[in-house]
Amino acid sequence: MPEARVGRTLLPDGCGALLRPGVDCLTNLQLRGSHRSRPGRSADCGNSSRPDSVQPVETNAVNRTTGKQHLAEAELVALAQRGDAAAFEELVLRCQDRVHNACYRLCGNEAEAADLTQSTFLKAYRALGRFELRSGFFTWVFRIAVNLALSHRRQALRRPRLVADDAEGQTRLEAVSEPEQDDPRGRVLQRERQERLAAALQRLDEEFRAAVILKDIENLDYAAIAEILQTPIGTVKSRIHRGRLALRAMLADLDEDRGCA
Amino acid sequence: MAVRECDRFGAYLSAYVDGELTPARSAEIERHLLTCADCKRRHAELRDLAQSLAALPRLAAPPGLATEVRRAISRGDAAHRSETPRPWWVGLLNARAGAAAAVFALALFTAWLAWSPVASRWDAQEELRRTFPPAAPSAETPAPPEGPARGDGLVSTAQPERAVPPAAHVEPPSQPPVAAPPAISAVKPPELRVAARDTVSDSPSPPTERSSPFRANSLEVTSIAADAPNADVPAAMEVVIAPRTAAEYDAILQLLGTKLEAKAQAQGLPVAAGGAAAAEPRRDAEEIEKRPAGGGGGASSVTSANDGDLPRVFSVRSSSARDLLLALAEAAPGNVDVRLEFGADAVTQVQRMFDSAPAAEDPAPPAAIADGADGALHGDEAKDNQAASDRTARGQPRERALAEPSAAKETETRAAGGGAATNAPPGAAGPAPTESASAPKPGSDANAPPVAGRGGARGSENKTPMFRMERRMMRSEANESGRAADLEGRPAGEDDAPRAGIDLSAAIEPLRWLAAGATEFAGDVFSVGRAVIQPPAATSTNGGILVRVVIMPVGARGTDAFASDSRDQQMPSLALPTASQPATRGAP
Repeated sequence: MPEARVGRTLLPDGCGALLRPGVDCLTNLQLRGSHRSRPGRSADCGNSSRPDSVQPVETNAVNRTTGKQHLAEAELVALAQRGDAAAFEELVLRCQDRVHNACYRLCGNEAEAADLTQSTFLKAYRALGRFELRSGFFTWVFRIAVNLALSHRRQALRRPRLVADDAEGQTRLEAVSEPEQDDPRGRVLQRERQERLAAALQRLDEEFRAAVILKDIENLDYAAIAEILQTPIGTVKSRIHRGRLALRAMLADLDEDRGCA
Repeated sequence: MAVRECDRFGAYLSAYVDGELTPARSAEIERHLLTCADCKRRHAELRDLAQSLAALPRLAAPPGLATEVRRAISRGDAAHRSETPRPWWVGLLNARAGAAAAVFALALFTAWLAWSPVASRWDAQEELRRTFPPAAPSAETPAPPEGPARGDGLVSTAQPERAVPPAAHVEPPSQPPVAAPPAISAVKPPELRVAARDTVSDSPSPPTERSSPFRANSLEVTSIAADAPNADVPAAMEVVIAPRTAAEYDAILQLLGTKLEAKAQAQGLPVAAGGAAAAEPRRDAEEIEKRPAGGGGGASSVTSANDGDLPRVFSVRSSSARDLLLALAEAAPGNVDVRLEFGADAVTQVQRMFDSAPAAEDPAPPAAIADGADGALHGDEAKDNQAASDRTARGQPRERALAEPSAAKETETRAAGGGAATNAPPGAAGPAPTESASAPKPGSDANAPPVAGRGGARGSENKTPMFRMERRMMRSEANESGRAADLEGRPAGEDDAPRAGIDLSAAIEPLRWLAAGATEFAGDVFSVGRAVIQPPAATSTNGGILVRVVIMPVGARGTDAFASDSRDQQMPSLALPTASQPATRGAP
């Protein structure tokens, strides 16, 4: 039943075990779009051989000066709760890329995603005293991030903008981020499809979008998504399915439009 | 049967794709897929879609984010850790319902004042004055006294019935405060209405005839200035903001709009981000340490890129205007002198767009610009060059361009005006000479970058919205309300950025224009590249901090626009002619 694992088989080679909810989710995915990675940042495939399930994110390796890389998540959380900023920084390092990517897909704006990511961690730090290790730190942080991103987007939709950062603007941003302009046709088509997909994702209702992003982009399982979204698993299942159906319909419409054009 | 099975299994297809079904259910669906082509096709589509989503490029977190978080935490550690859940009514304060309730309560209170025999004997105004001591001179004078205690909310001059005059009409420091439109005070808490003034009007330099729309005023918040350690400011420090999108444009705009408010909140400034300055107001600094660095829950941080060496570069990120300002304020251990500078091409483009507007159709915008409290923006070239030279001596590359403009860029530089003199004495409150939109602009010179031509063309096509916005701004200024419909057409009451009694439109305007221009220039996308805050030259006695917003090209087209003169070259940073005399506070 290979199809049943489609979401997980996409993990890059070397990333090791499948993601599991909770602490395992700290395993960082390799940047699938290597062209999106930035100078000075290595592909952050957690290839750690540490016995615990928390695998470090190797991004920002240059900046990794926390000295806490060897500690497990629970230890780091305990230290951070006692006010150890370095421990919290290590926690941030371990999951910042995934949080940031999720924020980016949730809000559709790179700059806002960066702010949201930072806000997420600051908020997490403030609430760290209330955090219990019943759920993984990553799951907990992700819950904060999703709530922040969705509320931010709701506010943004109500707020007039000086500059359009709508789908068109996003396409522009994407294009900006991917400067290769003389790629082969296939790559161009693939990128266009990705842009359409990203645009369609932004048009999705937020509850569906969050579920789909957490599942298909962040590769979390239903239980973790349910915990993050604080909804029953059945609801998660329904949202993912409906979200995908809606996405498929939107993509079909876009394809039709392009065909007509 | 088959139909019923399709209906029954259809909802499970996604879960099947995700491997989230029980083995028994999966086996059922597998069997069904073998017999149902329709479901098999749908399954394949869902699977492909999931794969496509998983293959979307991933965006790594910005470099240094963790460090920024840590710094933000360390700045506001105590406040963060002691944070307790907000009481339920706090949310109301931010809700519209809360606003409505406040209005209702105010109405009740007013009615009580009118009818109550007790109230009739009570001098409400007098009570307000007692509650909020005026400390009038401190707000509008360049060198305000210590002012009210820091805890009182910033505000030196906060009289409820008086607000700070709009920037365009700010009186010179020596003149008594000017009564402000009551509308502002009506919507602002007393502690936010204060201690701020536009220093541009103080510049004594005679206005020069410039038609560039990019004339922003140097803004000064006296409460900040009051904390200026003067000579103790570091020789060079940059705070780099990197707005790349509309949201960050907003953040910058909001920063300017909420500058006063945020500054007021951060009245303890300066806090020396690098420890190089601000040793003087120790007490203030300590108090600031207890304050949440993020302000209203947003994220802000200031990261020093190269501590110890000058110039120190700080990266400022923020999710809200207030946070941004707080971050800036913490990074700026002296007076804050906001200056907006724009890259040559962006300036040229927008200016050409500006130029292309028929004067007969819309002669007002330039006048609005000229009148918009930016008289001091003109004719600062001498000081500009002086300041640029000063900074050049400190090895600041962007200023080098300003001090040594290439022939190709000279026109743009002049077009945008110079204005780097942080220590320029204030003055020149009079409105600048109004120029018609059709006046010849240096930006339209033949040696302007090629992109300018395209920008001009587009600007010509799309000028209407820009000018409509500009007119709106004009009306705002004409009303001296500072709160009339802003660029977005929002009623003033909905503006998230309190104007704090000062008309910041002159400073905001260039950004607004650029923001609008970014949408207009579909062919050449520009964004605000970065803003730089710099302390004044070492010789400065005022300890100002400069904020320069430099336009950088974005995207392939934007890069193409700069192709002719290489992106790596130091673009002439067009200093908006500004002049400020940051006021200094007496010893704490």
